[in-house]
Amino acid sequence: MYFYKIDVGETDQSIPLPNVNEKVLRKVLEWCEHHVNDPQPTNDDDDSRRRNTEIDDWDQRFLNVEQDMLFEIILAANYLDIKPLLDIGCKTVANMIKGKSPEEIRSTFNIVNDFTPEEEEQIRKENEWAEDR
Amino acid sequence: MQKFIEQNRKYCQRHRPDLKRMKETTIDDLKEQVEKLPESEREKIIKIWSLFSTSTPSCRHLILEGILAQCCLPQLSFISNRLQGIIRIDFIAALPKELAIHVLSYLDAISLCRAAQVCKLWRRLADDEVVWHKLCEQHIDKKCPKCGWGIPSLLEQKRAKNKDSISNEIDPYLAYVTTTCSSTTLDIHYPSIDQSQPSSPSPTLPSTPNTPNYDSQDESQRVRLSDDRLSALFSDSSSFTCENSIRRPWKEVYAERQRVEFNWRKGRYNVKTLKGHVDGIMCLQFDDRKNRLITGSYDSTVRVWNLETGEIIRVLTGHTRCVRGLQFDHAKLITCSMDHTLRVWNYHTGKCITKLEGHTGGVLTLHFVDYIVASGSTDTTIKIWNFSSHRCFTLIGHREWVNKVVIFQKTQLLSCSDDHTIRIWDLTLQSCTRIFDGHNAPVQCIQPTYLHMNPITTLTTIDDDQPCNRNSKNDDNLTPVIISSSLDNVIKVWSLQTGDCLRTLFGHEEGVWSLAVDKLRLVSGAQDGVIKIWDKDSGNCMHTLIGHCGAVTCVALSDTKVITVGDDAEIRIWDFTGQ
Repeated sequence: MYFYKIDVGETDQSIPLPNVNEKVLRKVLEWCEHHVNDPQPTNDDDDSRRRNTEIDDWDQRFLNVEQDMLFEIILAANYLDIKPLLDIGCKTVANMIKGKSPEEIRSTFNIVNDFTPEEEEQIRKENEWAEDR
Repeated sequence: MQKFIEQNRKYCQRHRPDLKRMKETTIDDLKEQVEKLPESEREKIIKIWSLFSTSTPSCRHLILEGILAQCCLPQLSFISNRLQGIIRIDFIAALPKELAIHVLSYLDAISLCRAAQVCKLWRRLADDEVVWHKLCEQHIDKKCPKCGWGIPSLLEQKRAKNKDSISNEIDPYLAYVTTTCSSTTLDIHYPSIDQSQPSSPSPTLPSTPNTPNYDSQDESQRVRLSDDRLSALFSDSSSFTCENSIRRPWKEVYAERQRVEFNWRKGRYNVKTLKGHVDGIMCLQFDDRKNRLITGSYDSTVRVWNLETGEIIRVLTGHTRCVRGLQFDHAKLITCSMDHTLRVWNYHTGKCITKLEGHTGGVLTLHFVDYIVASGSTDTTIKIWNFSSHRCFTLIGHREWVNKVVIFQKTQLLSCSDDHTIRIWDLTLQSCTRIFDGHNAPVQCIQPTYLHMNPITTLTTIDDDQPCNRNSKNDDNLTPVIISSSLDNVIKVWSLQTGDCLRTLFGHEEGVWSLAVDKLRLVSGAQDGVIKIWDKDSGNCMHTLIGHCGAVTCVALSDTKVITVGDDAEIRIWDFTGQ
């Protein structure tokens, strides 16, 4: 378990942070420091958060990391309840899925196809409608 | 979930027992291979492995560095190749479910459908109701600001099917879009234009006793307006309640609607022609939900059709000259004619309930909302008939025939005329508040609507000399506009707030008689028999429908259909539902 000392005003106080390792915590803090002057999100409106699909350049570079680090950042952002970081983390994963065929997705994430050929054919048919652009 | 995470905390992501990574060779597989080696070799290898596995993370680093330092290039490329595959994480499986759903809800329909084909676990999550519900919310009956796509609501048809069959299945979308369930498509709610005068909350006009233009010294008229049978027809209607329902999967709902949207985009439709009138048809309205189509013609009759079968249910006779305008709701039908009168009918029985007389010329157009009926005439006036206060007043201002009137925001009226102008009237003040001047010929049709002024897709034909006041760059901003069509062959889009002409749509080669809009599309019909479907927001012409052998006098639009009528006495149903 890691402890991180932050200035909470009058007294210095340690806040226990289980579930977040030091390397990840440093990364999360780097993000927080860069975004320290960002305007507070006006409300917790899920919809407005979702509509903004863009990831700014700095964040893109920041999240251009190994998959395991990205994974840990998402978990840490969720655990520490840093919604904007959680959002861009999840968007980054979504962007890794977007525009890929099922086989390409499998190879991106090292996933084994556990469908039988019959099932696969049936599911392909079920989802055919979306491709008709 | 928290507990679940904590349980797995002692494992690293790679060795979590709940996540199978079948592609990889495990240490057990390797042990089998080692068994085949001579004793001395075997012991050496097992010793290295066990030393490594019992080391601390920092020692492991050192050991690995040492191994790497000793490796020759072929061995390094072996490591490099092996790493490519095994360093990847299946985020969707490894993340807690709510975070996996969070990731998936950033995907579009195509990507979600592909994700569902990856493996069993992905399928379960990519087909999740939450994800598809969000997608439906973003796209149904509106344009998604993210991808520029919108899909039709198909709400009316669903309800119709529910009523007709005994099936309990009801559209789950109904559950929360009750706000869009008004009975007429024309009932659009605008923000108040005049900030100083917030729109009156009263659904009817205030009936001040000293109304200046009222008192048309016509006592008989007052009697007619207060007929008991009429009050029944004008009772408030449009609310409906949603019964208990079996929910359909949101993905299915989305898929069904997207198929229809593809048909619209690709111009895939079936045409059906209905014949029955013996002279040119001038007006129509249809309702998918009620399965009704009503038309009015130069042959002086009004015909009620079964929309699905194309059969004539009833012929309403009474008008003595051409029927120029009509509107119906659940109970009543009002028609207007060149014989100077308006008639109110119970179209279920075919009975004419009353006749409204007062215009001194042919009545070309009418529109009703709640208790108020507006009518425009060749006598250049507009009359407002109030079935609640049983009063009528006249708006004077146009210098030529009034071709179309539309009530909006309850207290505002739009009109257009052969005098080339469009006017906005305030019904409480009973005066004209703005004149839109820009067409070079009679203005035949107008529709108030909202436009999604997206700077990327628009700007196709914005007038150079009229700087448009797109004050806000906010994509979500819907601009209230008026769309007008004229015999000068063009369709114009006007800002309701500033009165500026925002855009002119070119494409028709002859006068544009009629237009219809919904949230996604604009349809127009012209003198030369050509019908055009436009993308409402961009102003781009998407399809041209040809078939009528005469001027197209009236067009109407629903989520799945365009219906047009013309001088050739034919009704054409362009149906985009087909698979």
